[in-house]
Amino acid sequence: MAKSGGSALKRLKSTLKEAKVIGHGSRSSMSKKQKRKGKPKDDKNDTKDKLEFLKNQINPFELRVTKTKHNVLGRKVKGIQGRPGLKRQIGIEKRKQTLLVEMESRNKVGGLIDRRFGENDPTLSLEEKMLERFAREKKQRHSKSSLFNLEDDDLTHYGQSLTLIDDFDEPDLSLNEEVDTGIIDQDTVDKGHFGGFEEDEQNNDESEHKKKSKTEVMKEVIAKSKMHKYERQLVKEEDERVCNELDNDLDEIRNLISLPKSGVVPLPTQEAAFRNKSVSNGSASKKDISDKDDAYDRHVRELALDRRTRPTDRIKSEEEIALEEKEKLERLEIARKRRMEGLDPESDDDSVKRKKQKRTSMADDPDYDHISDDDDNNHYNLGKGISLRDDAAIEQAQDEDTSDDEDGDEDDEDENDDDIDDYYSDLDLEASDDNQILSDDNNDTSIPITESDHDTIDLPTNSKNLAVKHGITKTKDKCELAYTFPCPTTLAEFLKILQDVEDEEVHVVVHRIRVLHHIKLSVENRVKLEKFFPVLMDYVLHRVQENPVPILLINKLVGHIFDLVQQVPESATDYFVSKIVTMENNLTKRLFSSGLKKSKSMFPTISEFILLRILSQVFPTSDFHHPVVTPAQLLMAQYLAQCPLSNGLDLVSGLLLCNLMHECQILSKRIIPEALNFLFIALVYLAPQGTFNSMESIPGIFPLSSKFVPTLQIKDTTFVDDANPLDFSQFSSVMNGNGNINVFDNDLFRLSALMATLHLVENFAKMYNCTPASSELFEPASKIIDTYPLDKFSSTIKIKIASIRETLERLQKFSKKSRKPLELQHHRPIPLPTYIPKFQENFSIDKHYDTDREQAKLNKLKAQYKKERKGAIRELRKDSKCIAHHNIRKVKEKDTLYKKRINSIMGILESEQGEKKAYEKAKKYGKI
Amino acid sequence: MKDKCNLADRNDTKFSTLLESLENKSPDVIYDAMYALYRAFVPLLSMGELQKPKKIVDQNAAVMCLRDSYIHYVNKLCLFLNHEEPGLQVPSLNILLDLLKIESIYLTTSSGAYYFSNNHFYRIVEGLIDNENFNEHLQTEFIDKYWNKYDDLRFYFLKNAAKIINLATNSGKPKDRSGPISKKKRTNERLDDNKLNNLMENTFSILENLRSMPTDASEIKDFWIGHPTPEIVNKQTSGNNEEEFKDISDEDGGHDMNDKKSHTKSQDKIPPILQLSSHRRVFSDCWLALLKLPMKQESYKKILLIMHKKIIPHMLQPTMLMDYLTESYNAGGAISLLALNGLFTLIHEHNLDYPDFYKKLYNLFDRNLMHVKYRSRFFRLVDLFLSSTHLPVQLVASFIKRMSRLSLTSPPHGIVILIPLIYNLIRRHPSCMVLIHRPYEIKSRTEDGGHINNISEDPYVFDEPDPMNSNAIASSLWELKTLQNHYLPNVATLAKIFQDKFNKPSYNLEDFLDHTYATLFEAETSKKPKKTPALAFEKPNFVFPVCENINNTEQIDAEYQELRNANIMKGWEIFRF
Repeated sequence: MAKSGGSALKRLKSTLKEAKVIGHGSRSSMSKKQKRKGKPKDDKNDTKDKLEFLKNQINPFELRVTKTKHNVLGRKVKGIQGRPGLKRQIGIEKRKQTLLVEMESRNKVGGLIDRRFGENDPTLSLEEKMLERFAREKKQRHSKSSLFNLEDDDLTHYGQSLTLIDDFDEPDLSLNEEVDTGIIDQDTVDKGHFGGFEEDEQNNDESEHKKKSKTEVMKEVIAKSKMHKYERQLVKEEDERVCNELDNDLDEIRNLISLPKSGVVPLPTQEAAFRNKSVSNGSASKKDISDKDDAYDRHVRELALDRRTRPTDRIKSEEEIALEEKEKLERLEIARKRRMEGLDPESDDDSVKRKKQKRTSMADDPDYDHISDDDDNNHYNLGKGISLRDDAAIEQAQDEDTSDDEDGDEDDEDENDDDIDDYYSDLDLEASDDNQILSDDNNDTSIPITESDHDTIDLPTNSKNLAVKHGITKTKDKCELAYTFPCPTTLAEFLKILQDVEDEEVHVVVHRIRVLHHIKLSVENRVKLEKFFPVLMDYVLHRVQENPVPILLINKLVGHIFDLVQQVPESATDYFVSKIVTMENNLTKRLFSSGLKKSKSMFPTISEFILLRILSQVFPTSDFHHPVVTPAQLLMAQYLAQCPLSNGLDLVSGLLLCNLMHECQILSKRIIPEALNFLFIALVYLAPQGTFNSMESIPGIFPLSSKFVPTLQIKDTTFVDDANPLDFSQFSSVMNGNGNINVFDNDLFRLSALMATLHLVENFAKMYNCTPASSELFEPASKIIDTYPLDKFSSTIKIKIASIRETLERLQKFSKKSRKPLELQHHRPIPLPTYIPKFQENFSIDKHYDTDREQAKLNKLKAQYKKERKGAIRELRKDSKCIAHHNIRKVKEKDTLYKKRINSIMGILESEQGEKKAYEKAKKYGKI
Repeated sequence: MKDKCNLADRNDTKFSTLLESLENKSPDVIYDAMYALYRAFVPLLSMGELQKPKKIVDQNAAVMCLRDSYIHYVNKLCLFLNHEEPGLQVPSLNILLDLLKIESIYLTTSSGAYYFSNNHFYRIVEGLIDNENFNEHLQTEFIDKYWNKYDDLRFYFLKNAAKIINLATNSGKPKDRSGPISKKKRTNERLDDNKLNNLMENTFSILENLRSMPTDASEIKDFWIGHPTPEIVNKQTSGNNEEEFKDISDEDGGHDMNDKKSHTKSQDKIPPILQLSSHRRVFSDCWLALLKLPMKQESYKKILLIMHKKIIPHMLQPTMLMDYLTESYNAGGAISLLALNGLFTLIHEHNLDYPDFYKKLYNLFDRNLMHVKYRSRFFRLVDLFLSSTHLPVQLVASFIKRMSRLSLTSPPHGIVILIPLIYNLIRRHPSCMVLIHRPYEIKSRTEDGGHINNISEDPYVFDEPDPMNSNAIASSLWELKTLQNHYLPNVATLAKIFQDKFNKPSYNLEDFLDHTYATLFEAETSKKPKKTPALAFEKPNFVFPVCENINNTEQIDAEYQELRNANIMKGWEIFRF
């Protein structure tokens, strides 16, 4: 704007003057002379341009400015300036092009749709539209060029390019149109009409080989065709030869493809084809060649349809394999450690987990239990407790036992047999019928050799029967081992397979069974192996009841068991869990019945030991919680805590269990009070006679029943030089019912047991050294050893005991020294709520400082909604305004049209009337 | 009268044959004879023919003879109560009680006053409780059909039983009146011991099943022999005999004309059987007599178990049990735990003053506590005793420390009780917080040296019997920290609550009390694992390390040595496989 003052008219005038549209210097002000002289070109167009330019310059009347109340420097606010008029104009234009068009076409069916490019697009100018249309047309033509482009490609006729043929040389196309008489001349008729071509051809031939007669030509043709035939025959023969060659080499190719160690598994169809081939080769009879060919064709078709082989991973170098193995082990170790801490092994991000936990605890109400409960009944994950487990059940158990007693031994045997049946039916539903028969047979022939009053977890079944069988097999000649075995589904089947197999080769059989039924080979193999696993386990548990226990055999089988568990972990878990549940039930039953009768040792049998041992090798024992290991540990602890320790056999069992538990906890070092209690009790019981006179004098706070066990007290050991390790075979033979329990009633044994106990105590002490209460844990042990009269032992033993005692004391001293008072409650103090407003540094009014994210989000959404809604309402209003405007205009148009017509009609009428009146007047006055 | 005598004469011989057949071996014969005689005697008895003649004039040889045979019959029946065959015991009991009813009704009607033929019943009671073959059938028959139903039978039974037991104890050792603890001394008289034992067992088994002990006088309304209230007697008799009615009213000393007055009078003189206090008295007497008997451990425990619920509420003077309970409380072991309940009831409801209660309670926390069966019962009470916020800090700290010490040797279900209990105690007594949180600053200030960062020796004295002197408050609960690494994950997690903020509400101890190995095991195994369980990744080479060569022993030894050196034997050195 040049000047801001003055009225709008004045300003306009001045602007125009400045632009030399009017006033001095303008075209109108120039004299004709000047016009003619100077700048003839910039006349009309120039002025027009100028005006256009001025128009485009911002008209201050169109500009609408919102006045800001507080101007802040450096702050940009949208919408201070705006040109509402322009905007309105734009809107109206837009509506005219969309809404009004739509309205016009309302209630109309059919019509023409203009599909020309850009016809409905208001944004494109006409020029652009045209340009684009042209481009498209071009493009379309271009894309077509490949297929039916008549212009670019050469068309051919009889292999000759049409362009080469000069159309105008054709005799039938004479150019002299002027002399066209309308009659076709003879030439045309000869050449162009029916059969005209043949003659033409002949003419051509004649023209080329005029010397050749017809017969010659025919001969030539015949010779040619013969030669072709011969050639074809040759080709065919060659093909056949190659085919045969290929057929002969097929075996070799097969070998190439199905390399056993390369890891490339042949596709099933290929395999079938090969198999088919080899079979036919083997039979060597060619009676059904056509059949064979058909089969071959089929296979070829199948091969064609087969999915393609993918390139396998390249064979890795040794270092790579080693590295991979190492990485895998490391990864597993990390997962194990996480499980040990009770964390989820999968999620790598520790912090995320912790955060998550924190959040849940925050979200919950104050009485949130830190152990999240699955259901309300299950308080603190501890189970239901005894209250729901009726006393009735206990009574029932007791009743059962009493009734058992009354009924006597015969019933027990029957019961046992029933148990066998139950056992089998549990094991395998399909084979239950067979087992029924099997165990029925047993009823007649065999006497159950294991203890008959409880259903033990091992197989008391036909053990004798089977053992007898086994004995027979051993005497048989050693024969070549078969290479294929069926996958046994019951123990009986498996034993049948192993009938003629030496102990040393059992693991080979198992290996072959596993290879033959490898899980990758077939889908059903998984099911087979799931059945085979319990069979194998049962076999092991069955064999360990023999005397002596075939440890070597089991040592070899445990690797297979481990691998099988890796293959079928779910069913293996179920198997182990069901076994330990049975063990627990037996123990509980026996504990309840113990008041009524003096039963045998309550500690686990050999097979139960082996089961627990294998279990702890197959599953990770260091996990914080494990569905199999945790209950198994609880069960072992229960054995140690509740089974009465009444003789040497019990003591060895207990020590074995303690050792097992110690081994399980080597990594995680968890506390097992039961094991320590057992060891301390053993120390007290084993103390030389006269060490403890009364119960009150025994140090420690471990539980102690009120009487000593005389068979365990060491009497006189001065003559025993050294203690041996406890003999497992002796123990197992007594456990399996073949030995005399008195082997555990001598001082040598007691001394060995004492040394073993002390050794275990030492091991435990070393393991628990880090725990803060370790001195409290092991104080009783050292005190008990202190009270031992060391003179009663021989010198070597004395030294050993003293060294263990020293170790214990040293460990205690260290632990006492290193421990500090507990500081478990180092939590960040909970801040008091404050009411001082929070000040923000570098506050910006445009930012949102809502601390509550959710709330902020919600507010934003609300604002957006409001804005959108307002906008929509405004738009709709404008739409309706536009429509109304349109309608009014239409009505007005209609009205004006009507008025015009009426006026014209009225005019005509009036003029007519006038004429009529004039005529009448004239008539009246007598002119006519 | 004479006719009757003749009748008796006639029947005399038959009676004797029937009585003889009672001696028969075969139970069937005895059974038939028993009922035959019963049918014969019932009419006689209801007519009062068999009563002891009051005047010598009435003495009649035949009547005397009948009476003798009747007495003989009754004696025989009492003996049958002791028979091996329940088929005889039960009918004889029924017959005896029927006879009792008939006799008593006759005597009531004849004398006009309420009369319970206690001599007869005394013999029945004796037959019942001094019985070697006191089996279930007889017991249930007696208890369900008679004893728990009829107030008079219960009343007289208690009375008689107390009398019988007192007689027996006094005759055995007249001077020895001490309680059950002295039972060891009684070893001399085997037979007597046996008898006392029978008395004890039988009486206890009956008393144990007492369900209908009245708590209000209005509850006494069921009688085996008619209702003893004078009005009712009046109504009964008024129809039959006018004179008796008068007699009774005379006896009562009331004026029959004035109903109200007689009513009030009769209330003053309610017969003892209708008074609640007399019922309670006989109950107390019987129990006190019973408790003096020597008893087996099991019955002892059973008595203590029902003490606070079934015995103390019905005692006339519950404080009479004080000696017994105190003695039991001092006995130690499970008995003490059980006695605590009764003792608590006495202290709580009957104003018993028990010095050094907490000290004794403290000493009950011994090495076997967490392993005995009655621990849940005990800890319910302990929770109650320690719920007071006015207990001295030292005392509470001693309890806490002792419990945490015991938790080191406890089975998991024991630890699970102790941890919430300790948590609740620390919550209730925030000054005990130092047991789990002793920051350095406080330490150095209190121990004015500042050097004692680590307590080399636990200041707590476990063997100190007085909780006020155990110095537990200076200690720390390292045991709980150790238990955070317990092998059972639930226990370990529970032990970790001491590391969390102390903002949880107190634990409800009820949730933790009733656990055993079996329930914990069930809880572990009943959960279905959500995903496949983790597997070990190190392939085992052996189940047990063993050398392969079996032929040569020396070689074995050498090989063993090798294995030992090669660390393969690690963990299994103590065994030789």
